[in-house]
Amino acid sequence: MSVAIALHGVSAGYKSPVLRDIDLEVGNEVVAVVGRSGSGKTTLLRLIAGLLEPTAGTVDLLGVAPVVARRRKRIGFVAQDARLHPWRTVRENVTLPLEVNRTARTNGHISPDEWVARMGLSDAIDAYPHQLSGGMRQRVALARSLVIDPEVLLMDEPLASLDELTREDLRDELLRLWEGRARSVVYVTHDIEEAVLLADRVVVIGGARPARVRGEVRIPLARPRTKALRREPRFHDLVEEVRSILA
Amino acid sequence: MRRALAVAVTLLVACNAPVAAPSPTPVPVEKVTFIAGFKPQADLPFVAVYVAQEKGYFRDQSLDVEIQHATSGEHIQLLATDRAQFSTGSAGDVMKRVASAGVPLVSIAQIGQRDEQSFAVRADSPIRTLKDWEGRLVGYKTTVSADYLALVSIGGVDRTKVREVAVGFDPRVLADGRVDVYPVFTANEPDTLARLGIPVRLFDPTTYGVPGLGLTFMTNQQMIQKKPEVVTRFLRAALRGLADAIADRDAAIDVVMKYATGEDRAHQRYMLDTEIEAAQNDLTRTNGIGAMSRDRYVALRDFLLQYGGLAKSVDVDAVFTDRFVKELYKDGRLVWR
Amino acid sequence: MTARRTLVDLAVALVAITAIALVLEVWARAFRVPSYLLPAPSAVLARMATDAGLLAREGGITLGEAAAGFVLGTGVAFGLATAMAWSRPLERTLFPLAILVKLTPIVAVAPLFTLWFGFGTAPKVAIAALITFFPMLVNSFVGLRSADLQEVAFLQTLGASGREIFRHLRVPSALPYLFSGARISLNLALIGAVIGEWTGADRGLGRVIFVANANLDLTILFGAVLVLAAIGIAANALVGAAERRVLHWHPIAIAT
Repeated sequence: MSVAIALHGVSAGYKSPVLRDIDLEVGNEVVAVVGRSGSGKTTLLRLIAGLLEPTAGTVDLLGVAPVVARRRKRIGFVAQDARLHPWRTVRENVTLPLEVNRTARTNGHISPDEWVARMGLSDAIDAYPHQLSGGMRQRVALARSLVIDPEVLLMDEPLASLDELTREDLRDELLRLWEGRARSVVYVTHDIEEAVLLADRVVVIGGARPARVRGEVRIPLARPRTKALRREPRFHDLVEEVRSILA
Repeated sequence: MRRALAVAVTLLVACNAPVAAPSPTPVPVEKVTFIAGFKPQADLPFVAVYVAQEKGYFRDQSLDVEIQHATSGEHIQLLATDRAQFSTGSAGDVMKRVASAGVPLVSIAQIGQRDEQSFAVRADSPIRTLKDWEGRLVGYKTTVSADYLALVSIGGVDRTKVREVAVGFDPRVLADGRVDVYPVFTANEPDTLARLGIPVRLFDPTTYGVPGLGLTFMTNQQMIQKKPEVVTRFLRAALRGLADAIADRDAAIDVVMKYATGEDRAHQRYMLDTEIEAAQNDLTRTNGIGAMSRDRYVALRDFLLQYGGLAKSVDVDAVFTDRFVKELYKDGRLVWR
Repeated sequence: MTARRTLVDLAVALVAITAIALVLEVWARAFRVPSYLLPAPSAVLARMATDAGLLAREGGITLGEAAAGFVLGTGVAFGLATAMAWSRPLERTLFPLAILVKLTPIVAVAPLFTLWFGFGTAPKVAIAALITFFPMLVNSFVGLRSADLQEVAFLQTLGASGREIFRHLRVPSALPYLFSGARISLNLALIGAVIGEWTGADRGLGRVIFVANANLDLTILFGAVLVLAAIGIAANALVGAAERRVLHWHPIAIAT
């Protein structure tokens, strides 16, 4: 498996160091990153996206510097609270990534309208964000980050602001989406069960500032996964394993 | 011999002093407001009041005078509603107010005996006669004035060949050549412009026979009907202040500078000198400064009517009264009591 | 729905104004107040009818000056705000200069403009532009800066250029601020044009007011003021309508 994302000895911070000596490699898999609030999970994602320069170490994305990968439009990004453009309809929001940085050739052969359909939002395709519920908005956010068919998908607690039932629905959605295409996903969450359900590996970040990688748990559960898994003892064992590293 | 000298000296002193009369019975002090028609400066009627105040002449006349200055023409309304009792204004303005809106103003002393406005051209300009105004830029301040129309008529100027431009109140437009002919107050802007390094020549309507008149003291009809003795007392004190100002101009300017803080002293002196000169003619030499002539008022009214300065005619006797100024002078000297 | 609301608001305003006018009318008549102190509303209206052509023409001139000044002032302000939003050093240098402009009293500067730009429409437009400048600068700057940082990050991960982010994110984010700035600035521009006319003009409502004041002709003075007010109200209504259309997605528009 080729390495899509590689961090070696990375330290980073703003006024004071937030992360220290991070080593992480992500291939064609889903890696969940868990940790307490403020432990630097978002900083990690920003490092990978090239929105922040490391103070030490190297960050490689698809073999090049993150800024180059960005220019080639290989990165998808979903944040916790989708700030969709309120002056654009659902369709227009999903089309936006195709309108910028046109020189980068996109792999996407699935049209924006099809992505909207995949998200089950065809009825709302001409609606404006203020007319949508939180869950619908997050679906649009997902659609617009996938419309460019990125090889790398970075997700920063994308379901954290939604209610439990909507979270469940969207988790199923994500699992379905990830079935097809080969992608490297880094999924930040504070919800350990969610991490175990969705990921192939769970990386724990924490400790006193600056945070480090505390440990890692492989999740050998078979795919496709369903929420029925949560009732199995194996699932709980894995959750406990992660929890013990966090403590 | 010494006795004759003493008599001669006494007579001499007596001849030059105002004629005195026995001291009056105490009169209750009357509070009045004088509002000058413009900002504090050395306009002759303003100076008269400043000096009278400074020397206590109003107090002597049992008057408590509050001195105010108008900023944008509000003195007319204040005087009309008796919120002020005395003010200043040109004879022509008073006529216009009475004619157009029946504002109950009355002029009681003619301080400026000739037109107070002229037209200035740069000293180095080729404009020498009125006819030279053709093809030039002539400015007007608010509207085209009767003086202008009269000069155009007198000079045989083809008005269609003159470009009339609305100018503001900033004389620098003449300095930098935005206009060629600029309307001025004879006692004011010529000096301002000279100080800017732009000496000017004046086209004075008076020299062309325009029957203009300058500043007057004015009051309202209410005062004339209900408190004429207060009017007399005010005018008496003011005219004495005026006489003192003429006699000692430096001292007068000292007083002016107390009100006109920040103004240029030399410029104020220029204003005073020019207006003193314009306050005197044969009539005032006989009848005292401030003397009024009904004939001249009629002439002014007819002139304004002819050249559109008055919307409709007005009875001059409603506009001025010389009864106060007449009773204040005896043989050309102010009667002080 | 909102159009009906506006009509209701307008009706209420009209009733209130009529009530005040009636009180003034009765007062003026009962106390025989002379016209040079307080003209009766009926006299003002009658005069407006007689001089309707004059008021309309002069109103059009002042409106033209104000509109040109508004466009000029807004254009310069937006350009400057763009530069300032782009670079913090520029922001630090330009903002104090902008405040200097704002604090200069227009009434003091107006005669200078007439000196520099002559007697035509240029100084009036310049003054209207000057008075428009600061509110629009602040509003543009804040508006451009109000772009959601997370969204900026998102566009950056797509490899969008600074110019694309400006066009697709910052400008639309700034629109609500620009509209609210326009409401203020349009009226200011009108006042600016009127002040400009006071220092040397032979046309425009400002000049009508100036001459009326000199002649104590209060009926036409108030007539001109009313026309100015009407222009201001109409301009505001127009901006409001445009705002409702363009900003239909904005929470404020939705709430009202």
